Order: sequence, then structure tokens, then C-alpha cells
Amino acid sequence: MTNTTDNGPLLEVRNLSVDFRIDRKTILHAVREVSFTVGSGETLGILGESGCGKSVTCMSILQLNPARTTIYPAGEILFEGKDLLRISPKEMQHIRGNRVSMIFQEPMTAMNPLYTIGTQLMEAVRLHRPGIAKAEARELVLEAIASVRIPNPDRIFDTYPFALSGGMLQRCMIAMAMLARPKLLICDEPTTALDVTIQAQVLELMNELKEKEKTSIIFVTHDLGVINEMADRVMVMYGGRKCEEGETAEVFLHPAHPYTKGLIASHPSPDYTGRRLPTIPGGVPSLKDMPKGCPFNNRCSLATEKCAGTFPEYREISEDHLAGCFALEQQGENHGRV
Amino acid sequence: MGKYIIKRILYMIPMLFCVILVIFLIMNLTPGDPASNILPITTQQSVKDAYNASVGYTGPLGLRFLNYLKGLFSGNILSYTTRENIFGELAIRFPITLRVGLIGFLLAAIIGVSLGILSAVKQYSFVDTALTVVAVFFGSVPAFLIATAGVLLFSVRLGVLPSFGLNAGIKSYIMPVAALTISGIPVISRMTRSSMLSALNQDYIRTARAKGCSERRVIWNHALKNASLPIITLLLTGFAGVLGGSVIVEQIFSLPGIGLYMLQAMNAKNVPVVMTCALLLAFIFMVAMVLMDIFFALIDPKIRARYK
Repeated sequence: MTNTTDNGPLLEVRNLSVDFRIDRKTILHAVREVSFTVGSGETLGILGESGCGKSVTCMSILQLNPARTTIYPAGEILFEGKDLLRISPKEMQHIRGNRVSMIFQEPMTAMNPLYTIGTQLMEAVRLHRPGIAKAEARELVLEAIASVRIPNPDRIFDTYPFALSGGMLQRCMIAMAMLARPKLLICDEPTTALDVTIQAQVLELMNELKEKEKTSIIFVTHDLGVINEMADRVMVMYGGRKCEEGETAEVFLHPAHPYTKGLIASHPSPDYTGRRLPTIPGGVPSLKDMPKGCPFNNRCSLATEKCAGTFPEYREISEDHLAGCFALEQQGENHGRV
Repeated sequence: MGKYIIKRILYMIPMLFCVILVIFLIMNLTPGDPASNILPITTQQSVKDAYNASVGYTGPLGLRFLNYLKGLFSGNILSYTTRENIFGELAIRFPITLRVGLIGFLLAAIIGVSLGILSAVKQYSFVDTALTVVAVFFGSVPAFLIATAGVLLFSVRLGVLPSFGLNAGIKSYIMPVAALTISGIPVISRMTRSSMLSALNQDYIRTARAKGCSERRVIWNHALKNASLPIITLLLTGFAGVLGGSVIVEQIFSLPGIGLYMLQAMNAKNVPVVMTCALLLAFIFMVAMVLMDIFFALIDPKIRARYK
């Protein structure tokens, strides 16, 4: 086992680009030059509308994008000093579910319908501890099921996924992901498919596990409320680009990028009454017709000709708060704070 | 589950009875009679009537039906043409069909399923495209053409395999078996490919990868088991069909199997033979259906839960 040095981040993604090759002529750019870090025990939220490259970014970490079509033209994903884009499939299998785990959006379809919960969790244990005795593995699994606060672990062990609710299944997924005590847990919209009360329970459970296990978390969502509750830091993505990044409170209080501002403005707050909520005009363009330059330029009220040329350099708004927007240059000293 | 299977087996009795009844009615109510089909066209009507009476194709329908049932239970039904016991004839012919069908079909199943998995795992690769082209080709060419081409090449040109009959031992089985196998593979491999592909696109496959399964484990333990229900359906119905005798293959290679037997009986309006063969085929098919249900329940817990 590799020990993380105390000073370096647990995960460092540098300049990651992800392309999808659709046919011989068409290459779609799903993610462009995204960089971010996740420190030990830290929770990073990735925020954005559907189709912004959030999931693709996360899937890249464990190389779970469709292997046949995905190309990684540039970038590095450094985890515990190893570049995950350049390790062998065997090494990657050793990291998946062991050092880095992942849970997904749709709990109802994420479990294999033909095996019991117990069998699937046992598989996860035995994949990474091949020598473990069956009884010991079973003990571990029962413990894990109990730790996600499911009553009667013994009964759940022999239950098939079709007999469980979405909330229960997501707990089982979390139990499975946490079995090997991973250093990093990637959650791709884990609560989007759940109803609000169950969502709150699952979030609370994840926060609890995070405290207990000191696991770092990457939390992908389009829900600002969830980010606010979960994330120490937040990265806002649009059109495969990072537009803004910083501490959650700082970004939410002083959003600098027009897209972040739009997102926050369109989120209802408790003291917001009366008038219609503002919206960002238009919708996320498909990968096929993503605008040149800043991908947000066709929906942005501040867009100039410059925005259609290149993507701007990231500017430091305050300490550990970055945003990439040409409008920030004009605002100069103000640092985009309005 | 056991109770359900017993119920299914008991249901077979009335179903088989219905099959006999329907075939009996079709055979007896359609125009024509054994004598006209077998004897020369110039034969006098009185001779024909005498012939029909001698084989039992006279009298009220109900009585004829009862006579057939009596013969069935006593294990002694005479063929109109040979005047031999049909069960004796079946005992010679069925094993031939069984041998050719079983070997041919098992080969087709093994090769077809393997190629289908390969195609799915390497989707859109050169291997997949090549297999698709070959499968579409052999799937579109009728089996009798493949068989005839085989005869031309191996019997006429090269002279290494007999063109008909079963007198050359194992050699005489090679071409019929190959014809069955080759005509079976395309359907099986295409079906396997598409069910494997839809299984491989499911979320639980991503979960399996995310927890650290090797690609081999993902394919064999997670995808194939989920893809197997439609494959089993195809294999069992196909196998039941093959046991009914491949008429084309038996005709081309002059194999005295059950398919040819039934075809000849139909031409001769040999009612008891057609009925007995149809009964046997229906029985085989029903057994295959029960087996299918058992397999389904073994594989899918959701189906199993329904039978409890």
C-alpha cells in the first residue's frame, strides 16, 4: 500500500481532456483542459447542468468511459503519485473498488439483478482480498451493511435487488463502495434518483462515513443545495470546461463566472418570494455544436467577440478561488465581485 | 417450484390429446384417401375402397379415433403403407435423427454462442464485421444449397465423403451434421451477440467494472448470465425443432430419419404415421418448454419468486 504524503493532494487532475470518437471523421470534445485537486479527507463538489462533462470527468478517473470510443488526448490523473491514465488494466483493476470506489446515479439498475446483495458484496471483498476466508468475508459484508444503517443485515444479505427500494439499494451500493475503505469515493449524482427524504438520509449517512473513515469524496450533482451540504470545495463545469472553482461558501457568496451567477440566481432561496425565478436563456448545446472559445458565449449576457475566439485564462478572484471569464478582466480590481 | 413443474407436466396430457385430435381431424377431413395417394391412378374405385377398408380408413370418424387411441396405448399402431408397427419403425428412425440433430445442434450451439460473445465483446472491430458478413451470408443461403454444395465438393469432386445414406459409418454423418451446424450458427451467433450487447450496456456492468472485476469476469459472470435467457429460449426451441427431423437435410442425404418419414407419410396420407410423429414432436416441444421454464427459474430470481 502506498502512503500519501501529507503535503501533496490525494488526487490531482491536470489538464484533462476527453474525446469521444463517434466515427472516422467525427471526434467530440467532452472534456477540455480540466484541472482540479482533491485533498485528503476533502469533499469536492462538481456542479453543472446535464451534459457539462461532470460524469465524463469522474468516469475518467477510474477509466469507466466506454473503452472503444474514448480517447484521452492530453492530461494526467495523478492518484497517490500514479498517473491513472497510463497504468496497465491490471493495476487499474486493483485501484477500482479498492483505493478508489464509485457509486452511481441509478441505484435500481446498478446492481446485477441475478445475484443476491450478499453475493455482490462478497465479490467486492474477495476481488481485493483473494485469500480471505468465506466466513470472514461474510462477517465484513454484514458489518458493512449494518454500517449504512440497514436493519437485519442477515436478511438483506440473501435478498435480490428487485426486492429492495432505491434508497435501500443506494445504501447497499455505498456499503459495497466502502468495503475496502477506499481513500477516494466518487459519487456520480448518487441522490438524484431518490426522493427528498431518502436523499437527506443518504447524504447524512455519507457525511457520517466520511467523518469516520476520513475518505475524500468527489460529489457530482446539479443540485446546489446538495453541494452546499456536502462539499468543502466546488468546481463548476460548463460545456466540458471548468468555469469556476473555489471554497463552497466563497463561490456561492461571491460567484464570479456568469454561468455560476446564473445557476445560483435560478436556485430558489427561502427568502425569495413573489417574482418568477430568473433563468439562464437557452440550453446546454450538444457536444456536436459546442461553440468555439468559451462554450458559454451563446447564452451569456456579457459575451463579446473575444469570447468566441479562445477560452480565457483562469484568474484568481481571491485565495483558492479561480474563474475563467474575459469579463473579469474588464472589472479589474473589483475581481468580479459586484 | 417442484409443484409448478409437476403441474406443467400434468398439463401436457390434455395438450397432447388436443394435438392428436386436431391432427386427426385435419388428416381425415381433408380431401383424398390413402388408396388414391398410393395406388396407380387407373385403379378401379372398388379396389380402392377395399384397400382403404383393409388399412382402416373407413367407418365413422369417432370409431377411427378411438381405434387410434387404443393402438397408441397398446403400443401397436400399424402403418397404412408398410403394415408394420409404427413404434418399431420409429425405434429405427428416431435414433438417426437424434444422432444427427444432437451432434449438429450442439456444435451449432457451442460455436454460435462463442462467436456471438466474441462479436459482442469486440463490437465494431474487424472480427465483428467479418463475423457479421459471414453470418448474414450463411444465414441467407438456404440449408439445401449449402448441403448440395457440400455434396458437389466432397462427394463429386473430391470423392472423400458419401453423398447419401448411412453405409459409410462415421463418414456418412459428417455432411448432414455439418449442414445442420452451418445453418444453425448464424441465427444463434446473431442472437447471442445482440443479447450480450444489451447486457454489456447495463448499469450493473459498469458497477462490476467499478468494483474491480477483470474484463473476463465482467463478461462471463455478469453479462453472459443476464444475456442467457433469450439464448436459452432460442437454443431449446431450435433443438426441439431439430429433433423433429430436418426434412431438408434428411431428404438431400437420404437419411431414414423422422423428418423424411413424416414427409413421406403425409404424401401417402398415412394417417397413423403422421399422427404418431406429430404426437412425438409435440411431446418433445412441450418437454423443451418445461425445461425452459426450469432454466429461467434457475437463472432469474424474479421468476423463481413467482413460483413460490
